[in-house]
Order: sequence, then structure tokens, then C-alpha cells
Amino acid sequence: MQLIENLKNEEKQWIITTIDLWKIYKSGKIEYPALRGINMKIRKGEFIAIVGPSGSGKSTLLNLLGALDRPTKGKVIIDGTDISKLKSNELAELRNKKLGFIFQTFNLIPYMSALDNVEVPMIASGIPPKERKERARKLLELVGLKGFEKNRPSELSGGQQQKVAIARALVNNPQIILADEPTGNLDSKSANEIIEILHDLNKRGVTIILVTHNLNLIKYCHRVFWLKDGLIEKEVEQNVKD
Amino acid sequence: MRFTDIFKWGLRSLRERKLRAILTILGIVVGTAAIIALVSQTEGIQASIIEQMNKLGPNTILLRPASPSIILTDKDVNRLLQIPNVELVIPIITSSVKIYGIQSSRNVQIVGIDPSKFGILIPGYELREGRLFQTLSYSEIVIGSNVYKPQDLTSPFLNVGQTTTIESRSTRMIVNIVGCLEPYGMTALVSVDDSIFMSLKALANFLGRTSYSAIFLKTISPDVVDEVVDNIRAIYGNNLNILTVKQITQIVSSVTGMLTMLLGSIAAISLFVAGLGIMNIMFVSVIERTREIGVLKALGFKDRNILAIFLSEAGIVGIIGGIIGIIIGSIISYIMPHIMSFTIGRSFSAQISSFSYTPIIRPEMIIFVFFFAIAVSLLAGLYPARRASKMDPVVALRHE
Ligand SMILES: Nc1ncnc2c1ncn2[C@@H]1O[C@H](COP(=O)(O)OP(=O)(O)OP(=O)(O)O)[C@@H](O)[C@H]1O
Ligand SMILES: [Mg+2]
Repeated sequence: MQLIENLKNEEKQWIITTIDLWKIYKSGKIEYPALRGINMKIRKGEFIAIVGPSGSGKSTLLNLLGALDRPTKGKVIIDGTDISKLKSNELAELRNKKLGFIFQTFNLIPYMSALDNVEVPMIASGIPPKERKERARKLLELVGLKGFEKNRPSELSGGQQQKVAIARALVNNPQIILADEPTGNLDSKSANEIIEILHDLNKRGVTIILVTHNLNLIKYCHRVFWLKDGLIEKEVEQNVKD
Repeated sequence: MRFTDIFKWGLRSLRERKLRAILTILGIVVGTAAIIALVSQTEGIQASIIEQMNKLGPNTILLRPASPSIILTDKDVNRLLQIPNVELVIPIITSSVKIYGIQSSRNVQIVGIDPSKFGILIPGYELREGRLFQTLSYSEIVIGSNVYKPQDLTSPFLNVGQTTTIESRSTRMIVNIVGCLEPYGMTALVSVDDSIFMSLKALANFLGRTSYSAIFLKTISPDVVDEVVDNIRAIYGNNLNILTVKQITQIVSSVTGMLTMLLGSIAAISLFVAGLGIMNIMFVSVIERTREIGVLKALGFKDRNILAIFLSEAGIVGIIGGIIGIIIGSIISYIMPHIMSFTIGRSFSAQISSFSYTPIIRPEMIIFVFFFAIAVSLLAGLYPARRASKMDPVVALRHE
């Protein structure tokens, strides 16, 4: 009995678990295994980095961890739920409530103001406009964009756009933030700002999974997974000082 | 997702591509306006014809010789009066004569009728000036409003109190114009405004005829019309053309009904074409916004949310296009009779120009057309919107 209890408690601390995760892309007759059996466990509140050469499968893995895609084989368990058993609507719900995405190309909606962009995930969950505006405003302030609420993405710098994207990712209080090369299109100053914001969020308890090429950006990461040819080559623990 | 958010989203992305939105809306406007404008004309024409028929009363029967060799005389009038349930028998003579004005002459229809029956042939007529002719007067005529003042003239062609000449096959007669009618429109046989009227006996005398052109017959009630018709047939067989107002009304209804269907469906086709336009534009939009769709899915929008956002665009095009189309269609609808009577009046003689009608736009038609426009738009948007909603988020995010 005690053993099972312990096991359960042990399970509870993992917010994401993958078991023998495979992703095989098929184009015509050619099959390409982008992931070849990934086993990883991520703790609640951890700051994780996934690094590796181009084409090693980082984005593919992140999409699976973010419930955007389904594995060819194996399991992804997010907060206790095996996502392979979920319908596409339930996956959407999960992404909306528990996950926040940040992309290399920001991916803001071009015809919406910064404030409206931050509101978007709350529209999906049917939150009333007044509450949406309030929350979005607060988050823009948090990422340092007070006064830019009305600007459209085209009227913002890359760094500012990425901050809007972070505010948008945070708006439904997600447990996990997934960031795929969030600084890839930014100069080093903006890149550092973004990393500081992520670090800050992590200190507040948000689990963060960061995919990057840039090893200067992983100083706050508790663990770094090195990916190569669809496999975890090594896993490095880091000592993080605040 | 809330309905108002879906709606606002659709509106916003339409506004983002204004020119494109305006062009697609224009397609729906044209289709909707065409349906309203055309169908309202035929319905107006139908109502106007039926109204004129009904002026004569549903208990009216019209008899005309089936061929020139058949001759209707007073003998026939008496015979018809013997038939049970026949209330009135009114013989008339119609012909065409030349009438001389101050500077020119015109061809007009002349109708000979006993003045005591004038009000039955032309119910509710009003005299603008003067009086009716008398039974025994051989030289008195009453003129219709277009003969008094034809539409192409600025001053009267003839005046009441004046003497003029009428001519038929080189026989001439001097007549006194004793009265002039107010504009009336048409009845079953006569284009009142373009005709002149004379005592039956006088006209028979002038034309040298003893036979009648037609006989109007009134039954004691509309219910016995069929029975009386059967009796007339029993006597005359196929020698007479028998028309009842009931029949004419039915024929007119079915002909204009067919016309309504025809014009309505031509207009509806244009609405379908507009739908194809919407479909085309929507596909372009879906492809252009592939990345946006991927982002929305990543942010937790469900397939049906995406579907709703894109469908709302199509729906809004339908709503706006429908409303504008109905307004423009109504305006065109009321202008059309003027244009038509203008062109008809120019290209034909004055005979038809007096036919006037008011287009009828029924509320049911407006509602139907409005929802039809929306339905066509939604249907056109459905397939592209489904495409959008079914996109794989990972593939969509990789787009470009
Ligand atoms: N949809 C797809 N169809 C076919 N092959 C794909 C597809 N997506 C990715 N791949 C392949 O899978 C491999 C891993 O791709 P992935 O995008 O995960 O790499 P990555 O590590 O993120 O690279 P980068 O650092 O360049 O972003 C690559 O070789 C890529 O070509
Ligand atoms: Mg990548």
C-alpha cells in the first residue's frame, strides 16, 4: 500500500512524461523517423532546455509535448492525462487551459492590436470582453509594454512583438510555457530580455520548455536535453543561481 | 466561444480586406436586387390585371364570334336573355376609326354601347368634363383621357364642346364631343383611355352594320357562371368564344405566375454565381490565413471555433449584401414601371401606354430573399470554412 502511495506521489511531481516517443514523417513512400524513442520526465516548475543541431527533431518533440501533434508511437502524458486518448477538441481545450506557446516568428495576428492579440486565447474560452481587456492590459504591463496596447504587430519591434506573444501565452494562467526558438529572430539585447522574462515566470512556478540553438540562453535552465537524430544524446543538470 | 465574438471577428477580417469584401458583397447585392426588382414587377402586373378583371365583376361572361362568318344580332341578344339566371345582356360594337384633331388625325378604338349600360361596361368611370352621349343621338361621342390629351402632346388634341370628324373606310361623319373621361386604365375588352364612345345604334348606323362585335353577359350571381356557360355552349356549340372573368383571372394568374418563376429563377442564378464568388474568395482567404489558423489552433481554438469564424465572414457578406440588395432592389422596382411605360409608350402606339401598375413587394418576399441570400452565402462559405477548420495545426504553423 505504502509503496503504491509513494509511486503515486512520485508520479504527481511530473507534469510531462513521455514514454518511448516516436514520430515518423511520411512523404509518399519515404518514411523519415524524426523522433526515435524519446523518454523524458519534466517536473512541475522546472525550466527545461532542448538543444541540438538543426533537423535533430527539437520542434517535432516540442509539438508533441505541447499537444499540437500526435506521436506515431509511444505516449505523452501531460498533467496526468495521456493525450493520445484525447479527441482534437479536448486537445484544443488542454492547450487553451494548461499550455502557452511562444514561436520564433511571434505569430501575432497582423490585423489586431497588441491588446486584442493578447485577448485571443480568452476568446476561445468564452471569457467576457471586459474581463479579457483587464487581464490583457495587466499582462502587457507585466511584460513592459504599457502604452503599446493599440499598436499593431507591424508597428512594434521584434522584441516587443515577442513580449506581446508572451503576454498572450500567459493569459489563461498556463502551467507550461513551450517556446520554440523564441529569440531566433531577435538581437542579443532583446533575446536577453525575453530570457529574463521567462526566468521570472519560472520563479513564479511556471514550467518552461525552451528549444534553442543559442547556448548563451540556457543559463537559467535546470536541465538541458541534448537531441541528436531523434534521440536524447545526453541530459545535463545545471545549477541555477537567481 | 461567444456568438458576439465570432460575429465581430468575421466583421473585422472582412474590414481588413475591404475591397475584396465589397466586391463579394456586391455580387450578393446584384442577385438580391434582381430578384426583388423582377419578381415585384410581375406580381404588380398580375395584381393590376386581376384588379381590372374584377372591376367587371366575377359574374361577367364575354361572348365573341369564333370566326368572322358568325354574326351576333338582336336575335342572339333575346335568345341569351331567355337563359335562366342571366341578368343582363349588353351588346357592343368595337371598331377602329380615324378621328381628326385641329392639326392632325389619329387612329383610335371606337366603342358603341347603350349609354344606360356604360357604367356596367366601365364600372366606376368618371367624367372629367361634360356628359354621356344619349341613346338616340347619332352624333355625340365621349372621348377617353388619352384621346383628349395624348401623352405625346402638350396641349389637348380635342376639347369637349367641339365638333370633329370621324372616318372609317372613307365614310365620314361629323360628331360632337359631349364628354371626356378621367383616366381609367383597361377593362377586359377596352383600353378605355385610348378609345372614344358612341351610342350603339349610332355606331351601327355609321358603320352600316347590324351585327355586334361582342356581347357582355351578367349572371345573377358568380356561382351560376359555369351553369350559364354550359347553357350557352348547348345553344352555340363552338361558334362563340366564351370567356368568363373567372377564367381570365385564372389564366392571368398562371401566366404571370410562370413569369415570376422564370424571372425569379434567372435572378436566383445570379445569386448562386455570387455564391461561387464568395467560395472563391474564401478559399483564397483560407490559404492566406493558413498560418493564423495554425496559431489559433495552438492557442486552443477548436475546429468548430475556426469553422464559425470563417462562416461568420460568409454570413456577414450575406447579411450586408442581402440588406443592401433589398433596398436597391426596392428602389429599382419602383423606378422600373416608369422606364417601362416610357419605352413602351414610345415604341408602340398609345394603345398600351395607358396600362399602368404598381410593383408589389410582399413582406414574405423580402424575408425569403433575405434568408436566401444568407443561405447561399453560408453554403458557399461552408466548404472553405471546413477546410480551414480541419487543418492540421503543425502543418498550418509550418506554412510559408
Ligand atoms: N511535416 C514534415 N514532413 C516531413 N519531414 C518533416 C516534417 N517536419 C519535420 N520533418 C523532418 O523531421 C526532422 C526534424 O525536424 P524538426 O523541425 O523537428 O527539427 P529541428 O530540430 O526543430 O530543426 P531546426 O533547429 O532547424 O528548427 C527534419 O529532418 C525535418 O526535415
Ligand atoms: Mg525547429
